[in-house]
Amino acid sequence: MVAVNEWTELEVTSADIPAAVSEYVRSGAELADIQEVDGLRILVTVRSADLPGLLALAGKRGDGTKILGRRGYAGILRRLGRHPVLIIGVLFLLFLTAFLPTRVLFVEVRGNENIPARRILEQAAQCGVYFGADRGSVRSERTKNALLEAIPELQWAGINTQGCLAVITVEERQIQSREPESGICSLVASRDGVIRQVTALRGTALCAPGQSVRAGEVLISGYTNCGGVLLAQGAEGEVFAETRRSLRAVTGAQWVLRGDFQGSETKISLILGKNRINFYEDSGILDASCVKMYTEYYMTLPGGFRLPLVLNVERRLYYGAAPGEVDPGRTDRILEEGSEAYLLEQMIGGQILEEASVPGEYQRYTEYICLEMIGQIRYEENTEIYGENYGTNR
Amino acid sequence: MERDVIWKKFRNNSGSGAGPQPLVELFGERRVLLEHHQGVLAYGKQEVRIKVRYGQVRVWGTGLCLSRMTAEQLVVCGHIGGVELLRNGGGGCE
Repeated sequence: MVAVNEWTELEVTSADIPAAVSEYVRSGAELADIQEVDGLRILVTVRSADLPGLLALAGKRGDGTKILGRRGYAGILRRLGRHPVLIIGVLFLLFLTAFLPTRVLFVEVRGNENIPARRILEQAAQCGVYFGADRGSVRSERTKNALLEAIPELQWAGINTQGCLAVITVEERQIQSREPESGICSLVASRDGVIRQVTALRGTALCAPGQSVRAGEVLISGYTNCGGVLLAQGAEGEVFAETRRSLRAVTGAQWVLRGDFQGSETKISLILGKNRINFYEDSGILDASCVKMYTEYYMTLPGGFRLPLVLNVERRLYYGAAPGEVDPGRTDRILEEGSEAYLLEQMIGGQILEEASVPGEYQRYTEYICLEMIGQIRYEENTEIYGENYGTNR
Repeated sequence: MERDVIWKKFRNNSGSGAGPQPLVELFGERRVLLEHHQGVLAYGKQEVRIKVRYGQVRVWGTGLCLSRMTAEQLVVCGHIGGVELLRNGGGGCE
């Protein structure tokens, strides 16, 4: 058990050990654990408060003394005092442990799909949910009301704090598709083609497979003759047709080509919360001849808490860039792939059946036969049949 | 404490008014407490001699050490073989 008072272990060398010990105790010192080492030396433990007097007396007697160590809490504290950096570090860690959990250090948004998280975070910051905010001052209801008022696209919002993390959970409003005032529409052909498949889910199909249609022709009408009554509604369905498309793709004869590796450099920046501190002076805007690689180092606390302090190391590799002629065979492949990708984007839904191309130098002309959906909604104006809105399906 | 009362009575009945009387207490076979001594005359692992008013007290045994020592008390620990009072020449109890 560690004693409260400080004791010092001493080695005493004396020609007359018994007399020395007797004189020490007569001077008022309290000795403990007196152990004989040999005829001239003993080990003795003395209270540290009595040590100066004992050392002075030993000096007068001509006895030799050697301090071997100190015991007790006072000694421990004194030894610790020789390591101020350790004490400061421990105190700082205790302060962090006590202080950090009372603050919001991370804010996370969950449940958003169309609304950018940044927008929600900016609004939340105005409501008191930001880095370093006091956890106790985060009011869930007040923040929720402010978010719903600021962002109309939200249907519901809630804020919860878990340790240093504030979680903003949102639910977006389901956007209803706009219905026209009349509600009557037909499906018309968006381009010329030969019908291959017709599926009318609502309305009257006015075309059949094998029929050729021109752009603008009604494929599925919103009007249905129900035997004396004309039912007007929004047509719905799918019409697939075989169409022809042609594309001409060109590219330049000269490209800027990457040359030999010329060197590299490392740029360091510090990201503190939302602020970035650059330790370099240039703008960071580079041309195409440079390759940039990022590495981010996050600072985490024991327990997995991640501090908003990131060391960003950017490594730039510089290459020579010079205009050069590109191999025509390589450009032909690039043009072919680009044309197909562009064409598929233009279709509502479909596939390419056949293609016939005329390659050229740095250009490519291709004709495609595609199977695609050509139906396109066209809304009708309100019409009066046997009275206003007679038979309108609402 | 009762022990202190008993010893105080002995001291008072000893008839001597000149200072406290030396007191030797043996705790089992491992510890000897000696009060009102006048210093250590000899110290070793087999024998410890302590000067007292009437002569000296000799404690012998094996592995002896002074576990505590003040101006008034000292404690000898170890395997105690025996405790002996060696009087100065002549004289009875005072």
